[in-house]
Amino acid sequence: MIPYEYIFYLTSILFVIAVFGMLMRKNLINFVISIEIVINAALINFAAG
Amino acid sequence: MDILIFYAISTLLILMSIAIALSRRLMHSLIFLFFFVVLVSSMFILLAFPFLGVAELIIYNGGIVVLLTVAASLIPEERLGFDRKKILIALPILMIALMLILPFGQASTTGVGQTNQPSLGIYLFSHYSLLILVAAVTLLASLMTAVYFIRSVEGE
Repeated sequence: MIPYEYIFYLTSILFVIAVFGMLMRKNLINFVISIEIVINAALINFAAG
Repeated sequence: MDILIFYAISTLLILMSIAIALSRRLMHSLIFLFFFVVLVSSMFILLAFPFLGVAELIIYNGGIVVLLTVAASLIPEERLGFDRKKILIALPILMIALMLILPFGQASTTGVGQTNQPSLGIYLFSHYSLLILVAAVTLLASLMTAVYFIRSVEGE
């Protein structure tokens, strides 16, 4: 069984990377791709919690 | 064993998201996003949510990545920085990696009993067959809409 804390750390790292990607980009499609990472991180967090 | 697979998948997830955030070309970002979604779905299967994993694979890779690729194909090629040769080398490597990652996710003992690929398919299509059908028809409709938009843009 995987501890919830590990998944929380993983999704926090993914969220930070995606926010960094959102702030770095000017192209709209790249922005959407970064938002997809945020959504997927939140989904993993919901599923594990 | 589960924790080792979790470490492997999470390391690859972080690497893929860094690659998405830092890659300069849009097509490379889309390919990395494809692989990222496969990893997320294997993570769901590892966490004993097989339907969520398959729905993620169908909706994201079948719908959103394809729609973003369609949107990227409307941008002129010189602005896109499309490098055909590098993509032709990168795609088979990513496909082989994909084939290696997915069975690891399914090998989890925390999943639906002792899961393997046939039992996962039987489980999904005996419990959630209508939902998978609805998702497939929705994606078909979205693809048709994308084709309609492209044709209307080209017709102008």
